[in-house]
Amino acid sequence: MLQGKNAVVTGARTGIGRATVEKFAEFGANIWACARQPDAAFESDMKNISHRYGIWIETVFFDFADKSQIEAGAKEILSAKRPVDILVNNAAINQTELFMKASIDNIEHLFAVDFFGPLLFTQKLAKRMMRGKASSIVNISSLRGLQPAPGRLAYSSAKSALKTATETLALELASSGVRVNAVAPGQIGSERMMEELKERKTSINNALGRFGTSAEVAEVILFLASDMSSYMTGETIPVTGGRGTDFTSS
Amino acid sequence: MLQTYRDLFCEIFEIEEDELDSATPDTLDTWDSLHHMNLIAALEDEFDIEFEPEDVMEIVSFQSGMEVLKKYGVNF
Repeated sequence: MLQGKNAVVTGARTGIGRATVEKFAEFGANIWACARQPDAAFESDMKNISHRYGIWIETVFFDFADKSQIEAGAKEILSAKRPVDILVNNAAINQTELFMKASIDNIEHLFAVDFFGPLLFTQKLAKRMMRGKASSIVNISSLRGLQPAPGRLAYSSAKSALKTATETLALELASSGVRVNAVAPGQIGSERMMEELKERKTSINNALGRFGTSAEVAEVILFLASDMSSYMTGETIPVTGGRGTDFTSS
Repeated sequence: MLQTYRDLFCEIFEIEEDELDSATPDTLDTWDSLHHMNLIAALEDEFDIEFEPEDVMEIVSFQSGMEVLKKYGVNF
């Protein structure tokens, strides 16, 4: 499905990003796996996936909070002079603060990582993607971006902004053969989320009555990244187990 | 370099080589704002440069594009 395609996945170390790397590799894509900092375990994990599926994976390290690092990361990818067919903007941070006690600095930091960082990275890589015949950008928004909750002003706003950016970019890049879509995961059982939800005694109240898995989100990302979704752009697909989720503490 | 530049122009605006010398937004139906940005992105990617915003607006013909590129060290 992705045979011979080259994909960039940010936030590739864990959760949805890690699951996406494995899913893309399984379907034949080569991957630039981006993470914030190098470490041996991550390198080894990526090498294992690469060997298992017979594709190449190159690790790229930069911090989405730092514009110069983002530019350097993009430059490293572009310097390979290979086509970039797929970009998955997954890297993000999360925070919970009631508005009246929220630090504007924290909100700015979250926006830098969850919104402005992906925009800058996309701006750099889209140059290469626009030269391909059929490229795809998949932004990872959130159910929180569609359905805000108390204490999630920054995260909900940033993810909502990313959804709107997805729609705008879809209009601007369509003539260049670049489709831009998003997924909006709900309660997903990535390690970070599981810990967070456990601490906050969060109930599971979606229709399916369980957490989703990162692999289940990766399946939808695969669909949007591939030509199977060739008539879709500017769309956001909720992956929520049937919405209705409530992230407030019980 | 010149042939690369010519090829990019033809590819972006879907024209033949013999139309290049007269190519401007007025002579080409395909030279709208979106295709203009496609050209800018392709030139930046191909020649590994970053245009200043004022230079983006300076590219209003095949010839003026060459002049702007020379400022960034692209030799034809």
